[in-house]
Amino acid sequence: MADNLRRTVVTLAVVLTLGACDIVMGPTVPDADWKAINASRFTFMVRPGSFAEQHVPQFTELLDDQFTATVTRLALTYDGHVTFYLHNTGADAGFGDDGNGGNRSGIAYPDTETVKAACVPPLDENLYALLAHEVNHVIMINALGRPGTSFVNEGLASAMLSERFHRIGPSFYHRWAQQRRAQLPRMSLLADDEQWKSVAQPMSYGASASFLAYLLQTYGRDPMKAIFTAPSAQFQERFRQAFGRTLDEAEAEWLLFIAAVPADAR
Amino acid sequence: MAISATALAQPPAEPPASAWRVTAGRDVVALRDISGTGVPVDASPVALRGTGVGLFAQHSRQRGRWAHTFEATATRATTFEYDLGVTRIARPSGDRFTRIDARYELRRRLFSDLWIRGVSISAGLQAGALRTSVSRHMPVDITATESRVAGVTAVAVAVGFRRGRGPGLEAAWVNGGQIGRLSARHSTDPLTRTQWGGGWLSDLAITGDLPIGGRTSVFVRYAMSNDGVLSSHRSVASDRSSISLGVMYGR
Repeated sequence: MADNLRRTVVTLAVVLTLGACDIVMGPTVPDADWKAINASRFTFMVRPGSFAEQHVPQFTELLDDQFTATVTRLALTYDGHVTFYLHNTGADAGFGDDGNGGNRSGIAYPDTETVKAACVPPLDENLYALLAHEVNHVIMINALGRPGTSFVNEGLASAMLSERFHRIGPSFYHRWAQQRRAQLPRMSLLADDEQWKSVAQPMSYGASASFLAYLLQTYGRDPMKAIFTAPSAQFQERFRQAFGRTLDEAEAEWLLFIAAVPADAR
Repeated sequence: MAISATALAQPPAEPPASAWRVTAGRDVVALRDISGTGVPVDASPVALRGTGVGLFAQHSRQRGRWAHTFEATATRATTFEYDLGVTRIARPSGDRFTRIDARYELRRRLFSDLWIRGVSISAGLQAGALRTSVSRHMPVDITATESRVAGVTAVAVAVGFRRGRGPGLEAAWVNGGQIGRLSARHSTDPLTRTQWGGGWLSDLAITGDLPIGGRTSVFVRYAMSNDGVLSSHRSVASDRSSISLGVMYGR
């Protein structure tokens, strides 16, 4: 009896020591308290009776416009179907690092053509811009491949924002950058994935959005598409080949451009 | 006393010295892309779920308490959909998933006749390699293919039950890690991008065999395999389940 007990204890100890890698590391399974609403090219997963459920028509109109704007401006052939999980709070979505309890956060999962976002009142341009930014990730990554840097991935998703239903788009980011000229980080720093997170998020997203929007307006979509998949180690060389100038030279041009942006530009 | 006499009359509870097992069946694979690499990882609430066929082959040699096992599994899935939990969305045709996994395991039987006669517990070490490839087709004309070749090391714990030459049952639980090379191709990009990645794996296999005469048994296998690989701008978790039927030939 004592021998069997010892064996059992030893065996259990071995099993517990090994752990179960997938139980620890693996993703959790989503809960089932969702209502699916199909609209246009989107499926909206909303909590029954939620703020998000009440505003699906507005989101559909916004995202249809954004989808068309991004595909048209970058001449993409992507025509997929995107699913949105709209959570009632950032905590419900598992967020919590945006300074607002995750209530202004979203994540895109391009492989499964899915966006997860906190959908919290009010229905304002911040919420619109969040959803449009995330759907841009799904569109661009599926259409162009894996982004090589966070700089292009995040910056271009904001630079492509349509300004039809809200103000947060290229004009907004240029004005935003103009007001912060003295604090803007170097683009070579942002293009280095090892350094990307060393810059505070509003600054890294805003500066890269304005810079990439400027490049898109000035040089067109082809060089932009050429640098989309360039990793940090190859970024500066790929940039020079695509734009015919160095990253530093383009940055200097951009700084002159934003200095000339009218303060009340819309 | 009568029970003890019956027990003594049974042949020893030993697995065959050498055995071959081959099965074929149905595999289901679910892929979820990962955006946040905390613990646990933050993966898409939507799974790209595919169904297809799976093959399994295994050769094992028993030397006293030690066993050497070579096994290979292959999966090919061609029918896909998005699984949203409460509903499903059809995928356009053209998606493909393949997985080939080869392992060697050195296992030692730690305890025999634990609590119940015929029950044994074993532990082992595994090493091997796996190759996966997933190809996604997106309208209108986009194809994205990502493949991974990885080395695998893992620790296995197994609980078995066998009395004499009667039916046998075993549950094996494997946990370990993988390090590999990931490559991605996209129809709009002429370059194949490669990078290193690493991750985890957990396998659970429940097998049973029922002798049907001589050295041959019917062999049934149910397996779950969960793994994840994390890499720059490209991380994915996959769950695979398989149920298969075949034969075991042992000497």
